[in-house]
Amino acid sequence: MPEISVSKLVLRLLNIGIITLAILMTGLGVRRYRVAQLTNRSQLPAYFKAGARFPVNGLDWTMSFQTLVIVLEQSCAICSENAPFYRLIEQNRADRSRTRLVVLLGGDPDKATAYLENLQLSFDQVKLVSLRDLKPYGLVGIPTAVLVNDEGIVTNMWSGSLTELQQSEVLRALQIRVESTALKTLPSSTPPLESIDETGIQRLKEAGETVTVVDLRDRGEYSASHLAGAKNIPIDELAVRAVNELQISDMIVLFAGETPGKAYTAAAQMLSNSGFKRLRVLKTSKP
Amino acid sequence: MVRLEYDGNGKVVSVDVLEAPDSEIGGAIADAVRNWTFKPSSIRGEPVNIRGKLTFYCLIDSKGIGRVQNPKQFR
Repeated sequence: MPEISVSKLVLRLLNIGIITLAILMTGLGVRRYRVAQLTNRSQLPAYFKAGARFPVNGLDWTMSFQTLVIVLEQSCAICSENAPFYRLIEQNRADRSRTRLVVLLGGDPDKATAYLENLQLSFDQVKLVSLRDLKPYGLVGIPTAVLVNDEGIVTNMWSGSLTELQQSEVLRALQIRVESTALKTLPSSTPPLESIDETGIQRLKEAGETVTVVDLRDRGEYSASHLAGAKNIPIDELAVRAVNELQISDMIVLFAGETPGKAYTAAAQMLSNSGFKRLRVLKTSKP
Repeated sequence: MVRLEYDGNGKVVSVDVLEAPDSEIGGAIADAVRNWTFKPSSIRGEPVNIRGKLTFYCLIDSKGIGRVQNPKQFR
């Protein structure tokens, strides 16, 4: 065993001491920096905006690298339209420790489970909220998808009906790769409605069925011409009026004019969310 | 059914009766709504006007006394 002189031993011990001290000081410095950062974060404004603190408490951001929070409302037709895209995310995300899916759901708490089941959506966490309480925090559109990092800071946000380009952007942000055709071939959120013509309605009535034709056009168009006996509920009033003015047991036949656009899908989704299952579309362009 | 608009202070600036069982009921509801004050709305701190529709359900009992109920109560 080589001999070590006392001075060398002292020098070596001194070096070890200096290195230990340096490690300790670095550790303390890093810790102080982290504390300062955390303090700053808690002082960030709570808002629906990139760079702000997510304004809803009770969500654990540390469970995954990032969380996609989707804000939905039970009577919102666009929420239902986006449902197939949310399902695509759910089915293609790599693992839950990377991306958690959370929904903030507004509307009747008693119907929340049925609503999500109806849209075949499953999330890691569902939190029932009053959307009115979120509006002061800058929530301007529903649905809204908010990407939040593991420190609770909003990193990105998308509102309303998503274009294919926006859907691609969401998938990129979540690092989800799907077939190039996947977005083009997303299924409709509601199955196509069967159609029925006036003769068919008459036949059902003769068989003892109660049939209500609901004209979804605005009052001006309805006044100009409408099918005899049709009830006018403009589509923007349907969510409120249907549950009070239509009977769930009746056959509901929808009419939205010659250029219905997405009116039938939206109306069917709204009615279906309220428990109306017997729905048809009137097969005629001129009532 | 009325369509109304309120300003950034929550003051009702216009009321249109879109549908009513008769003109008296429609007029009474419009008069009542004109006296309402809404909680002011703002987007990113800027006061904004809000337009929307309100549905009222009018119930008239056997004594001829009318009551107005909101949709949730009506149901």
